Amino acid sequence: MRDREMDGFEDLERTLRDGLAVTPDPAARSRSKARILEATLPSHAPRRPLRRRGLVAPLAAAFVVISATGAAAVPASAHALPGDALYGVRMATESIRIAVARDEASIRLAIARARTVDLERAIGKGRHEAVDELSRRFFEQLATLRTLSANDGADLITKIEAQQARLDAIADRIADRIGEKARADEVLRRIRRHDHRGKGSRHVDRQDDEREDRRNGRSGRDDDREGARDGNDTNDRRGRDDSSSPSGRSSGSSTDGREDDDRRDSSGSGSGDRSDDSDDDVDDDGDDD
Amino acid sequence: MPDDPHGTSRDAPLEALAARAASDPVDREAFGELYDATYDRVYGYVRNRVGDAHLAEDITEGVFLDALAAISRYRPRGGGILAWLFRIARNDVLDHARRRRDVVPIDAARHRRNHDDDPVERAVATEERARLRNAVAALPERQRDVILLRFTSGLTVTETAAALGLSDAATKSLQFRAMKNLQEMLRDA
Repeated sequence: MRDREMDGFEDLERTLRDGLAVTPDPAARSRSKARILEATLPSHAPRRPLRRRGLVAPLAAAFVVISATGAAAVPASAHALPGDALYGVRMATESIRIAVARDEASIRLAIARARTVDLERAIGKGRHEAVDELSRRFFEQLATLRTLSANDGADLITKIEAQQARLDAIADRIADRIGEKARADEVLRRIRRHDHRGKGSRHVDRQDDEREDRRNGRSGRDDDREGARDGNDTNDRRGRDDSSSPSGRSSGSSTDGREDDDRRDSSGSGSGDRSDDSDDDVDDDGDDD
Repeated sequence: MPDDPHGTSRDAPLEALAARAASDPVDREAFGELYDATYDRVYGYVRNRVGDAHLAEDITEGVFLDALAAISRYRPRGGGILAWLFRIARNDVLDHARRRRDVVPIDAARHRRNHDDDPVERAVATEERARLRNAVAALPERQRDVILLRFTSGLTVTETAAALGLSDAATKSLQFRAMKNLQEMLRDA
């Protein structure tokens, strides 16, 4: 049933429906669906003794951040990217999963895959500063996986190569997704600087890295510390103004809508936040493509 | 699309899909069906907010990744699954805008450039579409959201209200004011 006050707007309603209609690219929709449905989700980590070395530090880091940010921090960290307040929690959670995993290779493969998803999202969001850290983490996992493949054999090598192919595909699409060539080249370089597969270019890359590090007045080790700092950067926390929203966020809206009348676009006002009402997105199902 | 786009009922088939998907572990087949049933609406909203087709695809993918991660905790209330999904979508758009202050919400030129092969785009006079989009872009943010959610994504008043965290009455009031503003802007243009 129509509302009487909307009478007289029928033509405009039709105009809006036609004029604002957009048609998604069916191929992009299908590809996106495939990626989403194969995305790893949190599974319940096996309840086994925390027996491996290196577990104390990540647990402590997670505890510190959770204490500081509240109990919802762990689920909210699911899609945290470098620079987000909860990125450190996410990394700590992953470390724990590796430490308690029955099948370390599967976990590391899932984490590598999660990094490729993160890379895509970071690029899509224009958060190019996160690319370097994500790429470094990706290749870190692959380097460890290669050492594990000595025991696991050809099957694992195939899976490692599949992850490399995912990253290569992302790199191939950079130019299409980032229009500005200089920016695209820079993002590509950030991805590739940690890729030491081609030894011929490695020397050049390292020289570039060192030059950049000198310009920035820091050594290569600072990169690692930067990653650790990411997890504690509470200045980057975004406000949540509606605990009933699925993501714990809302528009900070008025209840009568009146305040909007004279207020122009406030898209950049910082009222929004990611939907992070979720657990970590790495699981230990061991499946891979 | 709901049977009564001006009414307040939830979309029962979508709710059934959401209920199936919301199992623990997530029923991915059901979530895939939910994706198929809602992607175009979510994409339509996001695209009209950010303008660029590729960016809209990326953000929409992020919306569904977020939804997949959170669906097991979905409980139907208020505007139901569509309101829940569009709250995520709106927050992701705002999040993107917050990080990229240079993003213009609706940009007719970008629409043209990215969708030259879109038959719907071609079918409607480009200039009029640009005029319309510019007018919608000039609305206050929440009025614009009401217009997009109601007429691009086909949400009911109740779903729109729940997605925006408003009452039904406030949503109707916003819609009325938005329509009046649009009428004036389009008349003057």
